[in-house]
Amino acid sequence: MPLPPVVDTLYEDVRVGDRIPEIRIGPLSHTQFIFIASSHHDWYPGHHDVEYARAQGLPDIFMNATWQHGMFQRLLCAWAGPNSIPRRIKYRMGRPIVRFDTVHARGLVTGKRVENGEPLVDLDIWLDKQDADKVATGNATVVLRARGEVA
Amino acid sequence: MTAPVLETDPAGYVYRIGTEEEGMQWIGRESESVEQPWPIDVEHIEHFVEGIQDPNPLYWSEEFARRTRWGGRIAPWGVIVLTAEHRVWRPEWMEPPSPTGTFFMSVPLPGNRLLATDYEIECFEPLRPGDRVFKSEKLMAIAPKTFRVGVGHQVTVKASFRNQKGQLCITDSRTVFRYKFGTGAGYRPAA
Repeated sequence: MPLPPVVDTLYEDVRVGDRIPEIRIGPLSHTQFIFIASSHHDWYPGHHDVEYARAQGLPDIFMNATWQHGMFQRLLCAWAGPNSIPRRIKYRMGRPIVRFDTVHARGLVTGKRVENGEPLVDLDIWLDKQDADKVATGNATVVLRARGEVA
Repeated sequence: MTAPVLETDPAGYVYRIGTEEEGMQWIGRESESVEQPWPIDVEHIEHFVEGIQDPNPLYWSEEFARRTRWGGRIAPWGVIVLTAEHRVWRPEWMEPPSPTGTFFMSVPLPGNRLLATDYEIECFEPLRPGDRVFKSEKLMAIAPKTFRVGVGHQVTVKASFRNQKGQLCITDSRTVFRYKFGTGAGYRPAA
């Protein structure tokens, strides 16, 4: 299989109000929860033990914060390209993401500026799932490549 | 000097138990920089991105990554955050890790469970395969709070991750709800 080309979103081509392409994952199986717990060395039982999670008053095992960060990073870097830098990602978790959920990560450009020579784009970011909107919400700043800038 | 009161939850996390007043006195404390148990490696990178099903070739292909500004594969920025916090087992001959590894557990408070609520990561330099990582923490804030799972405190800790050259690579501010098991409206005792 040939490698994909290196394609970046250029700072000059971004407009405030742009929706960036969403990403989707799920339905999330129990196996995926175990796999993710192992990849993060995060063995808090609420992430893999259904009985434990329910005893805490939660509906089921739930995804950890690092996975949600990973989803936001995947969303931003898929749009911005491999030469971008996700300078800051900040979010608050609301309703838990549990087994068999399907999750959509979405983003909206809210601003752009050049700071210390870096072309920065600000976005609102959030996660929706099949039965609830904005189960995690936040904002991010991404360093994009500028037109003519050598990667 | 009295020994600290410790409680262990079913996950093996050990909490220092104390009052809110004792906990508040810890705000501003900073930990020493500690080398993480493993350097960054390709297996860990691929394991992490497989979990989020990230197809970005920057993490999967050295050949692709050489054509970018990074000049080689890098780790996704979240990859290091939890790597040292939980060990399921170690041989008896090894020095045991600190029982209360981070401020989330070591600060004296009534709570004996954790639930993450807020997260902020700032990225300055990428971590690459082979990099050694050094982590330090600062206890930023404690605020009383009640959620459906229980009564407790939101604890905010800022962690800094540096590479072997001393470069600041990532800062990670997490707010975690530390609550007392069994105090929440949503709690249902096991049969």
